Amino acid sequence: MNPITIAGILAVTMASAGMMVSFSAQQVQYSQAVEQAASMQAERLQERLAVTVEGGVLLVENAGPVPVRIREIRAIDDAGLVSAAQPVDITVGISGVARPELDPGIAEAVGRVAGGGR
Amino acid sequence: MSAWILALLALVAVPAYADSIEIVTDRGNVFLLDVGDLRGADVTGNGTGDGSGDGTGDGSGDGTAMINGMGLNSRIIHKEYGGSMIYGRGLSGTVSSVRPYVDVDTDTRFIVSALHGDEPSRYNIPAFYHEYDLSGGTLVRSQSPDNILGYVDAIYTGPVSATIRDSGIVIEGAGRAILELPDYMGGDLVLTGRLSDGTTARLASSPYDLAGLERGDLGFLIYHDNVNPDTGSGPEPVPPRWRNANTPPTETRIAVLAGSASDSEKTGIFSYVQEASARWYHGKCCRGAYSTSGSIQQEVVTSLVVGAHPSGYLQITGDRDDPATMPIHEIARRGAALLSVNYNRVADYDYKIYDTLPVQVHRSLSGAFEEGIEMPKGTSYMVVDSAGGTSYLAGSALGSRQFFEAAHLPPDTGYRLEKDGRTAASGITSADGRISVPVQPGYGPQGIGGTLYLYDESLSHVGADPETVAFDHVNGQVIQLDGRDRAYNVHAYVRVPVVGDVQVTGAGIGGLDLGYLDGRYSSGEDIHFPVIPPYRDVRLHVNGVPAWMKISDVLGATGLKIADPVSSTISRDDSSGFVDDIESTAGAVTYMIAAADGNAKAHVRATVHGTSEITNTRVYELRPPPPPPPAPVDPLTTWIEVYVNGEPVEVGGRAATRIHFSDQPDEDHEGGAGHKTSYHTARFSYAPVTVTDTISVPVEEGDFVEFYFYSRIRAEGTAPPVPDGYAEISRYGSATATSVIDHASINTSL
Repeated sequence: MNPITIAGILAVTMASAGMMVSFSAQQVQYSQAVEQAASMQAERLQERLAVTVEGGVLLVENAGPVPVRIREIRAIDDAGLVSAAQPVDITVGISGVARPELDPGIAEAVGRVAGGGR
Repeated sequence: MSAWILALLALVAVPAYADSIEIVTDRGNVFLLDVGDLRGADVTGNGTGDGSGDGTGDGSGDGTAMINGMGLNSRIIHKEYGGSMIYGRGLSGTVSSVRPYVDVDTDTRFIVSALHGDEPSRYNIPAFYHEYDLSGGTLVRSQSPDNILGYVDAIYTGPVSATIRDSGIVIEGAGRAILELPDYMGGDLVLTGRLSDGTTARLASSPYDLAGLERGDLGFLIYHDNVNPDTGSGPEPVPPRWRNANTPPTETRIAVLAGSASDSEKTGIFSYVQEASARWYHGKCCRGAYSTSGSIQQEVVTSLVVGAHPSGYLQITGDRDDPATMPIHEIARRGAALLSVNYNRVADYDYKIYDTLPVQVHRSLSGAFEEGIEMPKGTSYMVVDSAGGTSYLAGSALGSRQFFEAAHLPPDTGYRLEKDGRTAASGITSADGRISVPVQPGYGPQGIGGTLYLYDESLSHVGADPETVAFDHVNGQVIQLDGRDRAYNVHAYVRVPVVGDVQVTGAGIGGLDLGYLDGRYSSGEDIHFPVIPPYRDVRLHVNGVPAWMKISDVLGATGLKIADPVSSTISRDDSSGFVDDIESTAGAVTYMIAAADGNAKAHVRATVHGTSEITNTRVYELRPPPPPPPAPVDPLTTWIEVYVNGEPVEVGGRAATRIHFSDQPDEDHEGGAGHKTSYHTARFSYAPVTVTDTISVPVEEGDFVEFYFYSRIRAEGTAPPVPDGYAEISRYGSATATSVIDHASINTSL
């Protein structure tokens, strides 16, 4: 067989194999994405926090079966608008309690709530 | 103020009271600390959110219970639907698969949304062509019309006999009974019968008085004559051309018989006297030799071959014996040498044509049947080929009867008539609870009776100019909205759990009042607000206090959906025309509410398959040749449609994005001929295939985005071609298609 022909066949074969590998990898990626999303959704449904204020301190207790990662604490004013937002990164383990340090705006809102005033 | 109200106000943003703290987790849950009006309480309150959506609260009246009950446990829930939509005008309609959005014509007068779980009431129909009353849970037939089917003469072949009774004709034994019926002058009869296994009956007419015809072993003698071979006979004489030939052909068309052809088998006898004369010489040739001659005759009796001539007449072919087989050697003298032979006929050919059954068949019947039939004018016959046992035939005048009539049914209720396992008619009952389905002459499928399904648990809308009709299946309500003409099956609900005894008034979504949600609720009950685009918030008064919340703030609006397996089957029959196409759609819908501006994405992965079968039939007076099979053209496709706030959104310039296409099914195409019919049947079967794709659309915060994923099988029917020389009498078609989604997951994200 002509060497050029053999080289051509090899090139086509390798290209096809490459496409198959790529396609297969894409399938795996999709599959993993779906599984990951399903897992996240299941955990999301299991999250359970008890939020209380005692002595002016905000307590966040994890009452659910999965650890919870808190990303933000917001204060909502009496117009229904966000008056203050504090990004945080606190993970509360199962049965754990967190006492996040609060920014002044949030602390003020918590104090107002704890005090029962407006 | 009741604790219930306070709890609700914790959830909804009512400016006069709200002061709260929200805890946001990285999985998207929001947990609320809200004490509302509990000023001065020693415990300021807490908030829990279990995400389970069970909506229960302990009802103890403290802040925890209130928020649990009326706040964070409020969720958007999703409903899976399968079933069919029936919509149309008058009392009959079109059936399609249930989808979130079903476009309808602007002149649509009714829409029924019949879900799989609706459990329609089912009533046995003993026989069609009768009027019924729904009484005591069953269809009670009005007085049965009298039997008027009888016969005036009978011809039997074999040990078979027929007797007339009040209820009809009874045939017993095995053999052929040809019953001459009285002249019904072309009137419409409803023929019913129960024939024993293997027994068939044919309603026929004949140009002959069968009882007066001579009958022989070959059947009825329908024609006899003689023909001069030099001139032939009939309108297209074709004389034989073999006279005095030494090597005559062995087959000669001798005549074309005037008269229309029929589908029965004709045979005959063809006879003539054949003569051969021969000359011999004696001695050595040509020197003092002399010659002698002699002749011999024989009568040739053979069968006729009768076939159809392109002119529409019968062509008769006499199959002659080869005259060379005549025993001329028997008259030769000893020592003489044969010099020449001539073959002659000495008289015109006689021929007799017999027909085993010289009739035109109008209807072939078997098993149990009931059919509305226009009787032939003049004398007609019922030809029963009995395989033994006892068979019954009866007939009554159709008169003003309809195919199906019923009264005292629930008004404005969707219905479906099933006969022979297929939908024969569907629609809605009238305002006074009646159904009247007109007679369908020549209805193809047979079988006595059928089933009436009344969708009395299903939601229906009746009225002109439907615009958008929303079916709220959870609350059992139908809402008419402004907008394009379509039906919308609500599939998402905001579920608000109730704690305490409260009076709800002014319930609605956006500017749409939902008065049917008003009322008194107690602990443990839920209020289900339908999510209907484009309305974006929920509102109500609790014990007179106004409250509202944005639907986008309610949990459960995005994420992964694992759809239940779903299948949808649609069948159609057309008694007087072809079924051009049929399609069936099975789908799953999910949605998200955009929490921010961006691109809403849906990733779909599903396993789909389906089958379809479609048959179209032409009916002729004669048995036609089989047509060629139809060409395969039918695909299985899967699609995604996207709606934002209720409006369809084009993706890539298309209203629906096709994510799978297969035109490579297992196929079974058939073109065949039956008794005076020819048909095309196309069967397609698509093996399960897994499809996957991702679709993305731009959205703004608060948009309600619906992704409808569906698999559709569509089959196009073809009609068998009409052969040359054949005239179609009637046509009919039937089809069924099933689309199936075995597994599907739709993952939405922003």
